[in-house]
Amino acid sequence: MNIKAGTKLSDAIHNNYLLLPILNRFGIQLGFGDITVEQICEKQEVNLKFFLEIVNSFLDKNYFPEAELQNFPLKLIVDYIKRSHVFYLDFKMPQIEQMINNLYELAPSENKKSFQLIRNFFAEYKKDLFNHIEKEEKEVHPYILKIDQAYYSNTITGDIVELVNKESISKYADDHDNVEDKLYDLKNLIIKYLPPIPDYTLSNAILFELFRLERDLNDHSRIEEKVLVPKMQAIEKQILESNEY
Amino acid sequence: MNTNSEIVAVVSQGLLRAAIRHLIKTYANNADVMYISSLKNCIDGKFCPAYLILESNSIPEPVCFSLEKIRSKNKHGEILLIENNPINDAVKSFVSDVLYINDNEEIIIEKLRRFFIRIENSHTFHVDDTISDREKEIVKLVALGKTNKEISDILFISPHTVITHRKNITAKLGIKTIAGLTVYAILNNLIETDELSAE
Repeated sequence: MNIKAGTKLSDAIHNNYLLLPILNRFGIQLGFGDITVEQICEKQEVNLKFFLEIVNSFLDKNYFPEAELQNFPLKLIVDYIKRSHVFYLDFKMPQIEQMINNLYELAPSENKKSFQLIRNFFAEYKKDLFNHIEKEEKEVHPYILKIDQAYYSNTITGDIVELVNKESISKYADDHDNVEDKLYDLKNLIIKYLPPIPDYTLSNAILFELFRLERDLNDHSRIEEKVLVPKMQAIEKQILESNEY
Repeated sequence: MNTNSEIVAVVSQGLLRAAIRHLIKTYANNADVMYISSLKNCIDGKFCPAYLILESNSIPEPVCFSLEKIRSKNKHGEILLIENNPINDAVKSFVSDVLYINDNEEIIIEKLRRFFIRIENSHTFHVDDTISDREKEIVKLVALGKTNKEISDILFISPHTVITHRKNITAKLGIKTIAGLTVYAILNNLIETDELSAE
């Protein structure tokens, strides 16, 4: 199902509930009645086209509209990425951490150590994710916004050129790998190697959360890698070329 | 479980000794039990029984300190504590289970049954034969923080072979990171946690 301007938002959720956290990122909350996508975007002052591209690309990897998404102002994309960071750091990570702590509490004494290992591993993963996001927000995003602003307002000074020469978005392009690998490992350690606990529903719930988180993060890095980075590379190239004259 | 010192009991009260003897006869294949009067040899690491049954007042104070010493000397041993009063969680974390004098008969029997099958159980959870012995060696070295170059020197194989092994390990185990392999290695008893801190 492709979501269109006239699609009822509630139908979109029934079609795929994984969209829920994406809606939150646009400030949309539940209780929206029979409102359509177009109406809610107007109400929330969300760019309708951008909303459609983000939502549809989340639902269907093959749909991924790199060209269209690259037409949106970088600020819009950066803002969206920032809001998903809030979702990861303020909601998902504490929630999963709490569940893993509960898992440890429930573990039988003979296996406590194994569960402590998982707790440590998760803590390490969390630290990596925090560092990764912090670096993005403190270094990469300000750089993108600065270059973007200068480019569109046609105020490319010598400072900007120097900055592009020094920083370059490519430096940050393939930085996701280790964080993604750790999440993958965490899932497999729980699925394959951790002894079972009597309350299997908790282990299941943790895995559900990890799978969902992974899916969300993958979508997130796809937007960064396929939209943000190529668009920045194009801008950087133009800045450097125009400076040659 | 049939060798002599697999089960060691530090129990002073005659009634308890008789009860334990009887229970082990029934629930642990009539295995031999060695009764000792002091924990000293266990704390020093001279005795490392697979099953240690302790009366709480036999543990020299500070209790946690003594238990930690026993644990560090005897990592895979199981400890059953016999107790009169509720105990705190710190003490509990060192022992496999606690048998309260006030527990009713059914609970005592159930706890003993669980206690004696525990080692077998924990092995069936953890043994994982999907990787070869050579690959296990490599997982172990990776977990200890060795680089591919160091591993190739230690095992007298080419760095290229190390890389091939590591690819196969990742494919078989579904674990990509060094941190993940370390957790795997500990869960599967390929290394001990204190080997890590020693590095």
